[in-house]
This record gives sequence, C-alpha cells and structure tokens, in this order.
Amino acid sequence: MHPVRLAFNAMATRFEIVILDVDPVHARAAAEEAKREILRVESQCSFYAAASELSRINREASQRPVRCTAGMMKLLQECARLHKETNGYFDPTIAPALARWGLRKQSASGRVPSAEERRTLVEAIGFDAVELDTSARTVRFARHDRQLDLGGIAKGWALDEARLILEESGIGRALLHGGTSTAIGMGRDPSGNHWKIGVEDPYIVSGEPSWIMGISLQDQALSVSGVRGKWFRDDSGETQIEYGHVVDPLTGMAVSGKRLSVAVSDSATTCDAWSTALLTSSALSVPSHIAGTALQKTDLGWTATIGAPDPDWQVAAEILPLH
Amino acid sequence: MAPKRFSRRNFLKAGSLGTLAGVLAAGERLPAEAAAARAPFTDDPFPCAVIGFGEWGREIAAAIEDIEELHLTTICDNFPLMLRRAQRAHPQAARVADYREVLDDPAIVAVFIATATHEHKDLVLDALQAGKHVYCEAPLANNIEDARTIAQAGLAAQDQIFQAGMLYRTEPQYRSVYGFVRSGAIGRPAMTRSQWHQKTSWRRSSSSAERARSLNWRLDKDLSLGLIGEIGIQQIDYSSWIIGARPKAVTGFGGIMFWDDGRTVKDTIQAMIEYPGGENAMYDASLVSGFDASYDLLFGNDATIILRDEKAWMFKEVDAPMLGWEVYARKDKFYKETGIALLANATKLDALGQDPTEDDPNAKPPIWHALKAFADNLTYGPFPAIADARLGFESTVVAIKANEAVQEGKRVEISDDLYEL
Repeated sequence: MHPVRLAFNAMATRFEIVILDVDPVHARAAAEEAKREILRVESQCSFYAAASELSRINREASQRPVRCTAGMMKLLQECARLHKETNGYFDPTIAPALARWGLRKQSASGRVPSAEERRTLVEAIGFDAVELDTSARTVRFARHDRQLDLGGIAKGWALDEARLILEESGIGRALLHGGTSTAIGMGRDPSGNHWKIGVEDPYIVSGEPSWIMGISLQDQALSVSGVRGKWFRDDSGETQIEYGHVVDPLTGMAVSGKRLSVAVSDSATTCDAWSTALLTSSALSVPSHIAGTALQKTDLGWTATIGAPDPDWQVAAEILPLH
Repeated sequence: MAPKRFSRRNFLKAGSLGTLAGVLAAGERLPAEAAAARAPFTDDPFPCAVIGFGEWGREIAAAIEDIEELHLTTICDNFPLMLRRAQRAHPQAARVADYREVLDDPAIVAVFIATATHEHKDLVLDALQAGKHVYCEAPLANNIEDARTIAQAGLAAQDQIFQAGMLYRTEPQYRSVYGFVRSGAIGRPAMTRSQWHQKTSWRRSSSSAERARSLNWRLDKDLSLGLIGEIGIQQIDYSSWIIGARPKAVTGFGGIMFWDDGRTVKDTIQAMIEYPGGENAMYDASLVSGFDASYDLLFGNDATIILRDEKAWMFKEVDAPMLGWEVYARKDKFYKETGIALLANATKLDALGQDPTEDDPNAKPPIWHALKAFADNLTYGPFPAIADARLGFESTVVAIKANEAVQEGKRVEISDDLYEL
C-alpha cells in the first residue's frame, strides 16, 4: 500500500486527504476528484462570496421562494433534520448572533451584548422560519430577519460528499479531515488498525500535544468543537471569561469556559451538527446512533457534562462523569 | 408542443425588433429566410440534453439549470457511475446511456455535447441530422479533417444553431476589454502573454481499470490535443481576437516534468504563436506548478491589460494620453504598479444601485454566458452564433497545429488553406 497525501485550503482551513491504495496514480486521481468536490461545496455554501448559491438564498428568500440546486436542497433537509434532532441547539440561522458577538472573523474582537440585545437576537434566530418545498425545490424565509450560515455543518457535508466520490472510485482506505476538527476514517490505517484520531487539550499551549483521548474510527466520522478557535476574552467583570464562536440559539449567549465536545457517527454532517449542539446545551440527550460527549475542564481535569466518553475511546486522563 | 401565444419571442420575431435583437446578439444581420424558418414558439423553456456527464458536462448541466429559457430534460453518458452522479445532481432529468435515445426524442430541441474531443464528430453530425440545435465543446475535434466535417455540417444546417464552446467570445468582461482595446485604449497591440497553471494530475479516477483508460483520453497523445489544445484553445482564441488575425505559425516546447505516470502528453508546455502583423502570443501551461494560476496579458504602446478571474485591470504607460475617466476609477496596487480596474457593465450595475467595485452578486462563470447566448439564439434566432462553426473550426485548427508543435518541439506553419472550409 502506498500512501498518497493531498492537502489544500478550503473553507478558511486546511483540508487533507490521505489514501492507501496499491496504485498511487489511481489514488492521486481519486484524491483530486474528492478535492474538487470539497471546493464545489465551498463555492456553493460560502456565506461571504456574493455570488454563491447560499448568498443568493440569503438575499432573496425573504422576498420569494428561491429555487436551489438538488445538492443544496438535500443539505437544507439535513439541516432541518438535525435542528429537530438536537432540539434546536444546532441552528444554521445563527449568523446575526455571531455578528453581534463579533465572532465572525478569525481575529475576533468581540463584545458581550446586553440582555436586551440578546432577547432581540433570539427572535432573529430560528430554523423554523426556513420553509423548504422539496417538490418545487425552493427555500423561503418566513421572516425578513433570517440568514442561513452553514459554517457549522459545511465541512462535514463536504467531507461526506468527498467520501462518496472516493467510494465510487473504488477507494476503501482513506483518512479525510477539514481543519483537524472534522474527520472521516475509511477502512484501515497503514498498520492495519482503524484510523485513530487524538483529541487534543487546547488549553495546554506549550510542549508536546496533550491528548484527552484517542478515538478509533471504524468507517465513521468524528467532529470536535471547542471554545478556542474564534474566541475572545471579556475582561470587563471581576473574572475573565473566554467566549467562543458557538452561540446558544435559545438564549443568545456565546459558549464560555474551557469546554469541548466530541461526536462520532456514520456521517460527518451529523457529527458537525451534534458537536455544536453538545457544546451549547447543558441537558441534551444523545441519540443511540451517535456517540457523543461534552466536556468541561476543571481543576480536577476534564469532566463529562453530557454523556460520557464511549467505552471504546482510549481516555488518556481520567474523565469524571457528572451525570 | 404548447399552442402559440403572443409572447416576447413572437413579438420580437414578428417585428423589426427581432432584427435588432439579432444584430445585438451576434453582431451580424439576420438572414432574411431565418425569421420564417422556425416553428411557432411559446414561452416554455426549451427541452435540452447534455451528452457526456464528466467534469465539464456537469458544469454545463449546472449552468443550464440556472438559465430560465432552458430545461434540462435528459442527461446521457455511457458510464453508469456518471449517470448515478447525474441522478444526485439533477434528479428531475431522465438518464440514458445511448445518445440515440436523445436524438430520437422529438421533444428535445437542443443538445450540449461535452464528450471526449475525438468523439464529437459522429455526435454532432447525428444531432444535426436529427434536427437538433447543437452546442459543441471546443476543440471541435482532434484532427483537421473531422473538425472541417463538423464545421461544414454546422454551416450547412441553416435553420439550426451550431455554437462552438469558445467561452471568451460571450464572457462580458472579455467582450468589454475587446471593445476597450478596439477603441484604442492600449494603443497598438504589440503582444500577448497567457498562462494556465494548476497543480493537478489531470487524471480521472475509476474503480475499473478499463474505464479509467477511457476516461483518461486527455493523457493519450493519440486522442488528446494536450494542454495547449484542450485548455489553451480558449486563451489563444482570445489573443487572436484581440490582435485581429489568425495565427500563421506556432513554435512549441514541452515535457513530462513531474507526472511521469505512463501518460504521453506533456505536463508542462510553452508556445509562441506568430501573427501576420508581426505580433506574437506567448503561452504556457503547467500541471506541475499552480503558481499564479491563470491570466491573460495584452500589451500595447499606451497600456497593458491583465485579465484574471473574469476581472481586468489596465496599467498605463507614463507617456500615454489621458482617457479622462481613469482619475475617478478604482485603482488596485500590484507590487510596484497601480492597476486601473476595468469593470464590465459598471454603468448598468450603478443604475441597479449596486456598487460596481464590489463583487457582483450576479456574477456567472464563462460557461453560463456561453449557454445564455445559445439560449438567446434559441429564443430569438436562429442567427449565426457569436462562436459559430467557422470560428470553432479556425480555433481548432490552431489548437491542432499548436499541439503538433509542442509534441514535436518545433515550429509549425499554419497556411491559409488549412483554414479553408
């Protein structure tokens, strides 16, 4: 088996595709086709590119039903399913809240909105106002203040689409990831084991990486969400608080504290939505088709606030379950 | 077919505005007999089919779905995997493996041919014979004889549209710059330089080795016109349009510098195209380095224009005369130079309340504009297409001779008789 590695920039992060195949020429060609698929999804789902399909929906869907591509309709149907499954904690209409918190840009210079502002924000959020007509293949916003931002799910969707391309090309062994936060493991790694992904402790900034746990992906996907990434520190109160780029759609509050969530399932799209939801909620129950947990770092180490690490995950340090 | 209605089409076709629309669309007069040749129209979109659902066929199908005058009813490909992809992307379209099913369907009025270059001839001839309007990707063929046969058939089918896939002829920014150059804004055009760089193997994958061989016709020198013919044809055509002449010779070089995987076409090429007026076009393409991607440079004694990503900037010589408007134009820094942004449709965008200096939310790729021109021709025509059979043929001749020069590393003359139809 010859490993073939292809790396490229998309969705403001680095994607990587590693393929194991007896024919490296074929593997490279397959990786390039998967890359093209990821770039296609990026151009379709970009919140910032004025000419993207998503931008056109955001401009016009509050005025009239907007016809969309079959791929976009399928993705929006997935959004609807996951919004319902997560009791609304995954909500792709969160864009106004992220903007108000100043968490849209990489170098976030955020501020905490007032309670009144947050009340207004919550009214401007809600996927329930996104109406999908699957037979006419149209999307319409029932409220003028709705905006779709697929940033919480597009990486997973793109990786799922790329996996399909690889499978159609006869590739059985591969690891795909976007920005190291969403990954898919296909088949076995070079040593013949399932692809193993380490979840790093983001709060240890010097020296060697410190792994919280290692997760073997058995033809599965993984998504990790955390506060670090796009975040800012609020120094206005007596204690410093770090706010991350995930906002609770039900309260308008950004996630704060040293928190991390992990979701594993068959679909990277599902994982992306669930890792976001688990980071946001304090009382979600994880359905049986997903292995997921939310963790908080305390003086005692990482504590599970929702669910618990799957028994198969190799936990590096003791994790205390709260529930 | 739905009954005739008093529609925009009929209104335009019936009156003198029909002629005006044709003149505007094609830059040529409406043939007198054309107006009477068409069946009654309705406002229903034209049912059409894409033949060949590889990467470029997928782009064409996506563009068709974004054009209101066209209705994608059928996708044809003889590879089952491509038909599965067609089902995912265009579930409403019928899927067939044999192109004769498309041609036998009387409801389909137009076909878009996006198969391998060497497969175009039979498809085009059969489609025209079946009475379909035809859009054929460029190059038209991989040898001059086939290209000539295709072009002759396209010209002979006077009541049918034949459009070659020469993308820049219908792309608004490229058309705008063409007019700008023709107005004398860069002075005398002296030379052009174009490049296309992308780090990619240019190879397609398949789980079947036999199918992979078929899919990778681009890498086989006996079937493919290589980088200069399959890719460079567009940029060289633009150069010829700007200079206003057909190339008279090409000197080419190239090698397999990196992708030594059994292919027989070069992965890195350079060429110099000579024009009768003494101008030269320099062209290079590489699958090895993606540096600086793709652009076209047009050099004149008063200014140089660069086109990239469907945008354009002008760099004036210090001694060039003032054009007047440039003091108000947006300027962008390029290392030590200052480029004046050239904006297609700036006045129209301004009138729509849209800032012409911002990204255009309605921007479309070049293939969309090519297909929109085809759709407009279906609606108001048939008129001679902007990228008609003759243009497609002449560009294909250049592509074939340029590829010959690159493959053999020599200078190849293109005599006038080669351009004859």
